[in-house]
Amino acid sequence: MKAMWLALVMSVVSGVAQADCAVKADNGWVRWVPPVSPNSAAYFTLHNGSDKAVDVVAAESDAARAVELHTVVKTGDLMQMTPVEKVAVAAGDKVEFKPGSYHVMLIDLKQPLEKDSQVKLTLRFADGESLQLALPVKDEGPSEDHSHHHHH
Amino acid sequence: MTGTPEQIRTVTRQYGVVYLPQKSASAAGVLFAHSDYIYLLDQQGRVRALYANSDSIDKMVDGIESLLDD
Repeated sequence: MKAMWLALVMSVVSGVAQADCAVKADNGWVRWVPPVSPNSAAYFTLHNGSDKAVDVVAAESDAARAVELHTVVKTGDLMQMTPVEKVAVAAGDKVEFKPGSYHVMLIDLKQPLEKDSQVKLTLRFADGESLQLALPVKDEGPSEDHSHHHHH
Repeated sequence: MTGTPEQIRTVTRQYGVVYLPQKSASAAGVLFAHSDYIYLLDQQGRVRALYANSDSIDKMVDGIESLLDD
């Protein structure tokens, strides 16, 4: 019972299960979508603490029948979501997966997402390493538009 | 947004939305390039302002407040 409580506390505090990997993730979340929507997306920030660049080359999740790395490209007035082969994180650098930018597409969800539940996601890197994440399902990200509070 | 192609055409024409199917190998099927504006409508349903995704929340709040004062 005590061990279970501790595991619960740890998962709430970190929100993310960190394996022994040179890359760490934080600010992770999955966008809640209504049950009619077959797709959603996962967002997080990757920090590369090593002295070598790493490439994210794939993502996997049991929550969806297909999982892809995507980005959003803006050309003039048109915006377009498009799959990418890899996402590079330079040595000592970070890359944000966020709305309007890189994201992990969860395509053809196996069941509707429940708010505040967790979606498990595995990121695979070009060097064979992988990173397991457990991301909370939420309406919006941790720090979207904090600077925009409008008071009267 | 979803519906029959005819329903989608009707709405996109009403709002001047541009959408173009793109070639891709995504499991999500056909992905569309599309215009990306936020529309501010008044109580009669008329479009009163267009905002870009990059516009600040404050700018949109100001627009909404000026309509409320109409």
